[in-house]
Amino acid sequence: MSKKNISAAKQTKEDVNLKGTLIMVMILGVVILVFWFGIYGLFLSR
Amino acid sequence: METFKFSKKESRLYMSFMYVTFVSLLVGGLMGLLQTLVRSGKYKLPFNIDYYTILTTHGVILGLVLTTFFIVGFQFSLMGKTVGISDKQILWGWISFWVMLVGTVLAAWMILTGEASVLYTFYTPLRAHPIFYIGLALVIVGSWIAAIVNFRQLYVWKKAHKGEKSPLLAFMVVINMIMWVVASLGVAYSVVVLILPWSLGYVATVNVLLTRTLFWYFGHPLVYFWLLPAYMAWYAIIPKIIGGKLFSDSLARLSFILLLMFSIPVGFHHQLTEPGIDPTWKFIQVVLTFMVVVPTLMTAFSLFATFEITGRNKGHKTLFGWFKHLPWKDVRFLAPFIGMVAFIPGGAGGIINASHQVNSLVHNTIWVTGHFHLTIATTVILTYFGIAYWLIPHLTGRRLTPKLNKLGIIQTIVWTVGMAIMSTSMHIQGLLGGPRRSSFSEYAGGDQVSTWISYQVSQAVGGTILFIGIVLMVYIFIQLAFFAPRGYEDYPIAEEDLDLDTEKTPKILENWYLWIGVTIALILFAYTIPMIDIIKHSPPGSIPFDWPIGRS
Repeated sequence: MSKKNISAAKQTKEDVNLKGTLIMVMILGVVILVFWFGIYGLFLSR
Repeated sequence: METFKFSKKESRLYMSFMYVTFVSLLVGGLMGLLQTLVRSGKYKLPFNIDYYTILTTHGVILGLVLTTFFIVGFQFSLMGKTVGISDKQILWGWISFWVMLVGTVLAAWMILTGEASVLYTFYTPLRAHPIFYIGLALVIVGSWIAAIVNFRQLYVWKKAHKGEKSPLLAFMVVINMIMWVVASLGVAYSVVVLILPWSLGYVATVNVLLTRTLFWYFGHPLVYFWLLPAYMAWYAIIPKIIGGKLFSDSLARLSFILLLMFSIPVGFHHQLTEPGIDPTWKFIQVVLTFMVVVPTLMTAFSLFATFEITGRNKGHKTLFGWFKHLPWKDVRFLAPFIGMVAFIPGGAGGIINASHQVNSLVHNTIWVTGHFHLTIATTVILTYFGIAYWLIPHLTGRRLTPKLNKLGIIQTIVWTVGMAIMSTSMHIQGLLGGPRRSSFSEYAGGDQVSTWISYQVSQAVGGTILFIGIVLMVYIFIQLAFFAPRGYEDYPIAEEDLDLDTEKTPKILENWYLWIGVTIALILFAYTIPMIDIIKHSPPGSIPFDWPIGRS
């Protein structure tokens, strides 16, 4: 990241940006589902 | 800069618990290494040492002793820091330490002399020497004394600070200790009333299903007892280390309350293949188990949010710019962070284990061993190590030097590599049907068995790397305790973010009568009828078995 983009500014409740968090928790949910259904598939195949 | 320091008296008490922790790490870790070597089929134990003796030592010393000593010592320090400790409470802290230590020595003596090769679950009808059970009971009694001291510490603080909410970390410690006391009552009853008289020969038989059920009534909350101190660090200490603030005081408290309520009435998910328990009640406890997912995901959300807000406040505006700029070179952050990452497959595996049908695929296989080496032996232990890097020098008046920090980073990487190899091969071997617990065997040949051996060799490779990690960690501990340069190491506790977390913490979150009441109601709901069934309809009790393992 270039230094130009770095400017400290304290976020408040009104302008808080949690887009990265949203994406990360979605990825987490997908990982859990992939694991579970992967093993469930194995269960059905045996 | 704040220069808070504990008094010498306090530091000495908290450090005593840490000495036992790291001695346990070395002894228990060595046993783990030997186990993986034996299971590779390429190594035989010398001096007629029995495999099940080292297996029991590994489980008891790492699962029960290391964890309990670290947790009680760390929690005492959190209470001392946030609400204070009186001289009388320090004295009781010492009594708790000595009772736990005497119990540990008695249990270890029996295990190491081959009188208690019953694994850390001490399932009946395997019988150990009575002194083993007395030792375990003393460890639990010692931890109860610590719990009572913690309750008293918060009570005294609340009296002096009428109307104020309790400090977050003190609140969390009390939640963990309430859970521990409520859960360990079950195993204490089992050990003292059912197993001890039977092992002494005063009664002829024991109800096997009842003792196993009481063990798992305790055994599942036990894993949360390990995990909650890690959560304490994640919620309230890591934000400070990365230069941020607490995301939400209310969210953290609510998640701990939910963990208190839903971690106890769920033991049946460890007994899904157990005959003698009505499947309806197994189903109900599986549903309750899945409720634990809620506070766990709340924690994950809160952590990501803490990282993102901290990064953005520092000026990193791109979608994941905040992630790149976390303090990767600070071992106080890196070790717990890798612990958090390990909890993603660890938690996903836990959901699989607790699912009734899918459990049949992995039950009693080494998949389960792979699972808890991700959760306890990576998530929890790497967070404990992360805590030790600042707690030990803070207590000994020394500094975590850049050199020791670097060594800590190497240790974390070594641990991660070793565990990735060992745990992954355990998971795969488990899916191929490889059993857990048992010593090396070719089971008289067979195609399925031949698929397991290479994974067992991988586990020995991983185990060896992990043991190198243990030696490194013990070296770092000795440095931080005795040889690092004198100085000041911060005790990092995050402040609340009053710009973001503007809502006042609801008072109901500290209504102890309500949350303990709900917890007890859920336990009574989940266990009363199946317990009556178990007591009324169990087959005849079992006589003790000292062989093939037990007392050899």
